Amino acid sequence: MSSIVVVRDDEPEDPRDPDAVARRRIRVVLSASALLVTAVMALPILTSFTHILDGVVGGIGAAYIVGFGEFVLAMAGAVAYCRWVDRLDGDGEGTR
Amino acid sequence: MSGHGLAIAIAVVLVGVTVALAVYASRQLGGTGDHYTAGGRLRGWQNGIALAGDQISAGSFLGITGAVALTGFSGFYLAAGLPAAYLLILLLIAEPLRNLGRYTLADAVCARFEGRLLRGSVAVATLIISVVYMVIQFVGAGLVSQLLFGIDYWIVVLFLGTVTTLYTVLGGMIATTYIQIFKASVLLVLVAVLTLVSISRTGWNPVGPLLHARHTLGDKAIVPLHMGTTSSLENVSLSLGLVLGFMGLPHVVLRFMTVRDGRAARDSTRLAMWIFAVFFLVLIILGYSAVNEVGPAALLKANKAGNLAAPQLAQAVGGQVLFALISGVVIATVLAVLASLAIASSGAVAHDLYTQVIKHGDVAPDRQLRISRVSGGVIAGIAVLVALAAKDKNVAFLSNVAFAIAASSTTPVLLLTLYWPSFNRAGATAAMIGGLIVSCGLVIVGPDVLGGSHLFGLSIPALVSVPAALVFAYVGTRLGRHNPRLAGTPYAEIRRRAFGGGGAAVRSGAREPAPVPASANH
Repeated sequence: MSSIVVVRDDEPEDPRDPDAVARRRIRVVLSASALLVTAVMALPILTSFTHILDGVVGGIGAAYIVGFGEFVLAMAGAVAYCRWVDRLDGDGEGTR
Repeated sequence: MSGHGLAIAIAVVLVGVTVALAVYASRQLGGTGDHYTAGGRLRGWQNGIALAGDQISAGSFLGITGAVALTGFSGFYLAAGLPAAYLLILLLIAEPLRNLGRYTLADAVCARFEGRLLRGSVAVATLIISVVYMVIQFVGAGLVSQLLFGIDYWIVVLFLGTVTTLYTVLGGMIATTYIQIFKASVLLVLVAVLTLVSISRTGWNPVGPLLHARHTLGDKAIVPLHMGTTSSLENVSLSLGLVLGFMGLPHVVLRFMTVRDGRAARDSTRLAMWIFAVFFLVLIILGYSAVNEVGPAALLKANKAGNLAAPQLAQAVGGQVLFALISGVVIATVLAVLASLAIASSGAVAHDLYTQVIKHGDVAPDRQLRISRVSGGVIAGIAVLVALAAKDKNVAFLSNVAFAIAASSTTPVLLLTLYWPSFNRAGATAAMIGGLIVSCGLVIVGPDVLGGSHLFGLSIPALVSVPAALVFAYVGTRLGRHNPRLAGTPYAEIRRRAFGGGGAAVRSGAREPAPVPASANH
């Protein structure tokens, strides 16, 4: 049974090849999603099973600060991803 | 005019506007495609606001504010993963769904694997998730109306069920989109006003309510509480269900089939994220303002789950006028979300179960449309009955049950369909049916249904049911790997269709051929 991502890094990709573009996009979104899920699930795990985020910083709970940071991370990720795909689409258009 | 009279007048005006929008939209309806997905011609900003409107529901507005007010940081778990959940939607499914889907969630899955059992099980999952989500809206509106209008809970729930059916019959997805845009705009303005009034009482410091709550209630108000292993596992399970569940909510999935092209799908998701990231951060402030201004005892007395914290806060800081405005817009909010759910669920019945599974695609467009409208009313009726029995549940909790079911059934099947080359129809069917049975079964034998005599300790089953669904997918795929009939459309073709492979094809707005049999094309 093959794995989810079947692209080999040592294969040169032609930016004009739709299949290569699709494979590249899949590789990026799966990697980013794995990182994102790990980061998001870290908050309830850390707050529920450890005392690392029990402190108060500047009158606000440390867990809240980390939680608000996740909001910022998600928004930054959305902006960055859209710019990247828009650029990718632009490259694709330019070759057609 | 008394506070109650003003509130009733505002609610009547808002409901009247939504019905007028539905009537206006009905003149633009051209056929089945318009009814289900607005003909796939919405602009990114229109769909973005409507998508945000789906999320900033009465369940989240009332439930998260109340949960933060009564439980402090524990309530934040209900909101913490939402922007990340939508980033996952943006990364993983927004554009592929636009390119593969047609009218329903099942269409997207069946673009790769056509099979009656699979399509039927996706439709059943859509129905279950949508009905649970409808119940949340009914409970929230019924409770607010009880406090505000002095009208019995059951009367309000019945009224809302009737208006929801009216929307479905009249305007379909176009009406739903207009209503969502209207409701989201009004709600955002009013929540902004409530927030400004609230923080004006703590020196215009946005985090002033948190600081004040800490001052009066101690650190326990703003730090995580350690309540034992079961509670800790519940928090993790809740977060897992929330982060993964959004991708499988049928009315959210449907939104990506309404836009012109892949870029509009991305733009709408990004806009929605901005709107509700700010909205959910504000709810934290409102939750603490509620406990400061109203007090925990009064919040508990009004509703033991804290569902009335937001209207109570409005009354405390803004008097009868703000109270009436907030409560009135909650009714409009409920109706808008109900309209979205009615479209998604009635599509599952009419398009998937009736047209594709029972009639093998041989149904005239007019008849399919009629079936869809009738089933919208029947589904609303079922949700009304369940809502009458679920009055005392925290509405944010109920929504997380819906997320957990979606995370264990529709989400894994959708993701594996898009990203696992070896996935096959046997795996998809096993994951859909198995995940649905395990997640619903664990809710039924859990503490929120069986109380003290529960057989499973967690209210939110995602921690167990999501891995179970993945195991079903893997085992099913292994067992079916030697049967070529189960392989479906070659993965390379699905990949090309889903991810476009460049901007020109995607921006053209031209969809790939419909994934359903030709006899169903209309």
